[in-house]
Amino acid sequence: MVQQLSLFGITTQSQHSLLIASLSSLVGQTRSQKYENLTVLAKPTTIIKFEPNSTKQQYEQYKIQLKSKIDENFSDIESLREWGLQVYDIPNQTVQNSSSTKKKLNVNSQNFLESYIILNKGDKLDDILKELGYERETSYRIKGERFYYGNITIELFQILIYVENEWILLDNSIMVKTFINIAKITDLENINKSTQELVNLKMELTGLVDLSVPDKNNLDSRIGLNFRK
Amino acid sequence: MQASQDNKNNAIDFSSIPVEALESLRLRLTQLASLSSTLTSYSEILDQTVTYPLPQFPTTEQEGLLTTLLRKKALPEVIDWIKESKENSTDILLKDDEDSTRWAAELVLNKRNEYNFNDESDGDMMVTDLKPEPKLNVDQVLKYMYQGVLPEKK
Repeated sequence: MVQQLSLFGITTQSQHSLLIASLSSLVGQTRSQKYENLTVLAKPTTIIKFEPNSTKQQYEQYKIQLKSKIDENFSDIESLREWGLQVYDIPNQTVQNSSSTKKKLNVNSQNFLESYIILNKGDKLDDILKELGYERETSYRIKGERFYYGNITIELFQILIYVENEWILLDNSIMVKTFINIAKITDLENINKSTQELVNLKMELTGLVDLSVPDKNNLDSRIGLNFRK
Repeated sequence: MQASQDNKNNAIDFSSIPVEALESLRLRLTQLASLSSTLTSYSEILDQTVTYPLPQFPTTEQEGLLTTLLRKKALPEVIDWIKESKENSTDILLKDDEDSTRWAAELVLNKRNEYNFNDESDGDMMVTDLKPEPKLNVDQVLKYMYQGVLPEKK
């Protein structure tokens, strides 16, 4: 299980070149690393109702994110053979009750599991998903660029959705995600250090883009409670 | 200068012209011009040279001369001359200045258009030809990314 510490922000397109220029000089990277991927969101085929306060043995169901690298000429989902599979847990409590003091976390902290699927010739993504008990729900493209600042990855991206035979922007905004992945969730020293690093970056970018901890309910990909269909 | 002198010569009685004094002034001016050009050509060396009095120099008796010789700043009256000539030269060129500013601004714009400051693939990667105002906030976008749920208003 990997723990991801992150902060999110949003900016407008008019701020894009300014932000890129500032980030380039901040991190000392003359050009950003461009990336583009397709994300497929999959949900379980059978949804079991989650009952809070029930004494019966229950388990939580999560949505799965599958990501694959694509390029400009992407057209067919069947042509993608390599997929990264991620399951995100609901973000950790932002208010921690440690002994007597209540401590508010300054960054978003979320655990996730990651694996890879390589499709052989003739395999179909839908079939693999079916074997896992999942089905495709929706998919979107992410176009973005990355900067690296110390241990932090800074991602600027836009989301494109497929509407009426055309990829269009979900929104005119540009999302900013800054994060550090920590391999072990028990590595407290690293977690504290990384938290501080992210907070420092937030201070550094004050006035340019406002980085903050998002409402954790929006990062919750659990099925049971939220989606009863 | 020569012309005005000639005019004077024609208008006024010739005999009263102090020819010798004028000749000597002309000579001094030539010498000054020569000195000035020599100083200019050696200015680089002179700038780097450090001057100091030799032990034989009568420091106590000639203190005034010494300070004058070693003086690096321009004399107060010289500073006044420089200031005065600067003031005189500003008001004349105001209009020209505006023209040259406009010319410079245009030149910069034209020159800037001739170069490509961005990565060639910039335009391809980010979609920029759209309305500037975003409609969604961070939370709404994240909700879509993690849950596939679009905001209701669409």
